[in-house]
Amino acid sequence: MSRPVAWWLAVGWIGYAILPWYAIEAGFWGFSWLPGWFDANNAPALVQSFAYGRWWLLPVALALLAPLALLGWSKDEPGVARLLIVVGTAGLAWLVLQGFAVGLKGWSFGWMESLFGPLGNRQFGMGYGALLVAGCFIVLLTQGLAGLGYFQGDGFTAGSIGVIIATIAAFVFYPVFIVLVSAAQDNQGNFAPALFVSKILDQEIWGLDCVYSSLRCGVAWNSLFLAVLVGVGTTVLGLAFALVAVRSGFRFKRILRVLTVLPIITPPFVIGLAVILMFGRSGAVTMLLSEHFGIAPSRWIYGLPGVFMAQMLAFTPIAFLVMIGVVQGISPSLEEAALTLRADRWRTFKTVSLPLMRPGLANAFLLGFIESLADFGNPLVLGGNYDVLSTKIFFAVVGAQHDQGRAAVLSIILLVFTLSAFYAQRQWLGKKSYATVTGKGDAGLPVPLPARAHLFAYGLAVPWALFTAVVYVMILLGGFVQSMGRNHDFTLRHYVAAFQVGWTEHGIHFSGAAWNSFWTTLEISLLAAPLTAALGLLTAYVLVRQKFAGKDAFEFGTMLSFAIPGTVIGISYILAFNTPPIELTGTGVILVICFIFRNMPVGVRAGIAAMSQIDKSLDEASLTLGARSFTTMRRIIMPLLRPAVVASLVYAFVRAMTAVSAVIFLVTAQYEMATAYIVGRVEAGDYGLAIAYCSALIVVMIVAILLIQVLVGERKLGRRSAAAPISSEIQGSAAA
Amino acid sequence: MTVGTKAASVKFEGVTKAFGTVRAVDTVSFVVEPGTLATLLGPSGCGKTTTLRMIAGLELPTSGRILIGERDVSRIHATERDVSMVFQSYALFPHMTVLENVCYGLEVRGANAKEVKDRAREGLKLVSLEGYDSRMPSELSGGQQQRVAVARALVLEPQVLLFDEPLSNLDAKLRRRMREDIRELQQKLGLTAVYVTHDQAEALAVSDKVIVMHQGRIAQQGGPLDLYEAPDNLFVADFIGDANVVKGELSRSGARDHDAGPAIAMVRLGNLELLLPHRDVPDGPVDVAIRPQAVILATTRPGRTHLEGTISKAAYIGSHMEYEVSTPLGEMFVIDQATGRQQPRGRTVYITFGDRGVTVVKP
Ligand SMILES: Nc1ncnc2c1ncn2[C@@H]1O[C@H](COP(=O)(O)OP(=O)(O)O)[C@@H](O)[C@H]1O
Ligand SMILES: [Mg+2]
Repeated sequence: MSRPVAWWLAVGWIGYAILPWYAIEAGFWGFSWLPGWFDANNAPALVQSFAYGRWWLLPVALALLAPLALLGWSKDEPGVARLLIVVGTAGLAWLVLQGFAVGLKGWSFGWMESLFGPLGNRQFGMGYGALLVAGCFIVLLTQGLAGLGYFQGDGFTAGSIGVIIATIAAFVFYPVFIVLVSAAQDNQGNFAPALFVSKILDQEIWGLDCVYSSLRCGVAWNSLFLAVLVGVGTTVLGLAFALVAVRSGFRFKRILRVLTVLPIITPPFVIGLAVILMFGRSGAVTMLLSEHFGIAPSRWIYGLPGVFMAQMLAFTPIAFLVMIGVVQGISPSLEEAALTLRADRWRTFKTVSLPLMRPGLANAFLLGFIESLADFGNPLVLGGNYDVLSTKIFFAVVGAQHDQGRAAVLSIILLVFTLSAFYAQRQWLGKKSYATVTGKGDAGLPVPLPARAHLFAYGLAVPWALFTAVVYVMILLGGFVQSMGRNHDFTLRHYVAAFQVGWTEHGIHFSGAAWNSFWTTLEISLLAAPLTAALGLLTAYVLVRQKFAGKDAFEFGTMLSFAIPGTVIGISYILAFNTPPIELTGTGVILVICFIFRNMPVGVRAGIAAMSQIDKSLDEASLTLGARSFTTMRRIIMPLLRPAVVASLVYAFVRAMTAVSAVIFLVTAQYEMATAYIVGRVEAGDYGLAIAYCSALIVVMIVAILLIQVLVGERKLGRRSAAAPISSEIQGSAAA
Repeated sequence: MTVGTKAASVKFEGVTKAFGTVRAVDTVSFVVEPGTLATLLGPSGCGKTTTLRMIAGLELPTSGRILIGERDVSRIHATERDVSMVFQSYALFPHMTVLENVCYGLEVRGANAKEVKDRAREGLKLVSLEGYDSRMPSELSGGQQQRVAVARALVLEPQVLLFDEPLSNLDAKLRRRMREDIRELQQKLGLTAVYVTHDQAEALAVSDKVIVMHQGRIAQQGGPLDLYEAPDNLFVADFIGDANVVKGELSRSGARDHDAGPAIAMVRLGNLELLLPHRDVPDGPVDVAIRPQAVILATTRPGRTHLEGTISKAAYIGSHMEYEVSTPLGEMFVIDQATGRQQPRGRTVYITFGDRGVTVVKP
């Protein structure tokens, strides 16, 4: 028996015989279960099965006993590997089966009750004991596979793949599957295909009344229409910005570059909030117009115009990032060739440069399209009567309707939209957009822009950049005035309300209203970021360095959660993890898990891009020198991957801080997140506090980003140092 | 010298490696005796690297058995084999100094820090790189990097040491010196080494045994002399030193048997008759490989049977002359050491063959 197997067998036994098998209501790490360790709620599986009549946990012991027979056997024996595979598979299968078969009310399925008779017993969500045992079975299974020569005989790789597959199955595929299932059920949980059909064809979703009457159109059309508008708009603006940044003598290029970092650190709905502060009924601009020109304040901004404007502001920088890469990638020599063939500059631009950019343009469009569909914060604060899918899903669950089936149906439609766009992007463009500057020396200077293109680029980019700047000034100033639009006197009252700190005899007392959610957000983000980066980079390692059957499907699975809108994730987590076997709603764990699997794809992308540049023979050299795969990861790959590590950490942290769409379903009073809290303040009309909180968050994130950079540091490669700047890493991942 | 060796044999038994439908290595069997150096030789894409990587454990065979020493390692991962490899790209860790690179293998195997440093320094001394401890790999020349890579592999005293085209990134002069150094080190330390190259001169110069590969299979294996003088097939004849392949007619009836020497047959090439070892080739039409150096050109008609030809191309290479000669048997490539006596184009020459370098090729 090999060392890892022995080790994990011990872990399995700890999980089975010592730790509480079921989840502890008050939280495992509170250790409230220690005194009542033998209680029906806290006991380990071994005790559960004998003392509390949970006999279905006994077979697990068998699976954990069987490998003990191997003690003393050489692990080179093929028989050993086969036994491990059988035990691991059987153990996992049994864990899953019993988990789904026995629930809070005994048998989970009616037909089981009629088959076996009533159970007279029940079980709760699995806890740490079950988690360790499941981990043990995964390791046994994968070590067995490695022992038979799969995965190049490498146990670490096999184990990593096993863990990644298991967690993605549990936290991406299973919840999405539950959404599909519940869409086909009525609210009593009965299978109801007819209801499903009527729900999915609902007039409220697909109605086209707005075309020929003054009635509203269906939400699906609303979402699509908005997404197309935003996709086109951001692409055009992105192109204009890229042309200015790359192809002109513009003197303030650096400032333009700052634009590209902004959306990364701005919570998605903050822009919407700023737009309200400017154009709302009592917004700053509205007030100016009404005072000086007598234009009556109105609510025109709530609805399509406002959401469109906010999304344009929010997502143009993403298109800009994509287009920078594309414009830079056009080889000047091609344009020079066209010029020498007597094409004038405009013809060259039209017939050579633009067609070369076509894949990039399509890529930017699809990204804007997906982002707009998935956006939740801006439609929530600005949507007014203009319903879109993501907000409709939310209100179907939290509103008076409380119709989970309807939310599931809407989720499916949204999912189909985003997945189609995602699929199109990957199949049709994904590969091309990676073609960048080659190592070949490419002499030649970029041809100056023709006058018409010059005018187009400046005419769009400069005003829009100014507008963006004004918006951010509003965000920063908004927290320091009494009431934006009405009373512009300086005040600190919003900050005091949010972040007051008092002294009591017990020491510092954080009495501000925001502290609770602030600390939770920080804690959860700090917990999620390293886990996200680790899982993402591990996945990238497996994808780049290992060959195995089913790798393409594996990659698709890991990238899938990127295309699932946050709202859909949120609803799916609620539906899937509200009942055993995995019962997580209301805990902080579910937030962490949600962040990990939502943000992992970017870590994977950054990791793949960086790891492809590291010669494979480096890790092979390490392996032949006797280092295990894990040591190789730690001592060779990680140090060389520093930039990607930083990028993933930053991204994971920042996204966790700013996420709102999925989170808003999962927060509780105990685990309140900053964004959800702010949205609540916005809905209550408390804009001052909301905007003050947002500015504070942005500042915290900037500090955190700088800190991470300093902590992780740069890689040293001696003379030929080649540390890539972070922004280009994130750029690579955004373009992915 | 404290760097010793635990040299072990390497044995392949019908090993096949398939990538999808491509059989990169196809039912290959061979043995490398302990303490010897074997080369895998063949054109690009013939499966040499794949074979080497299977010895290292970086690829596992699709079928067949691999033994290192007595141990069946067919399903054993690289980390658990006692084999080190010198990579074509050197694969020095760019974020570690020279000394850290050489220490790495010892460290991860858990030797104590003092011993690690001592043995690493010992290793660097073996490759004449004392005093380079704290350089980064990027601050070394190609040849020095190569030496570090060798030292890094050596200090682990592996059962088998592998080289994948270790010299292909060096210039010609350095290549010759490095290959001599490697051979010397291997013999001095009694290492088992497997060496991949596509350069036949390099292979012949350093090996105890050469394994010639062709399209994933072994074309022939044996000592350098065997391969050169008695190629088993046309591929080997042509790949190891050039060869002119001409059609002949073999018959055993007219030939006398020597008392002790190899069985001799008479081979007729046009109007020329040669006595050659028949190598168990049956009577009838046969391919004959003639080394360019074995062709003797004369301007006067020699006494024995000969061929007549015309010089069609001539090139002065410095150390020798290269000719193309049109003969009744076809175009023939000839190397003539006598640079003082250059034959102009169009000259008629008389061709005979030397004692060595002419051989019948097995069908
Ligand atoms: N990882 C791989 N995947 C698919 N085909 C491969 C792989 N490695 C090698 N091959 C194929 O196997 C054959 C032999 O390759 P290789 O052993 O590298 O040849 P050599 O080292 O002799 O040049 C080639 O046709 C090559 O394309
Ligand atoms: Mg090769």
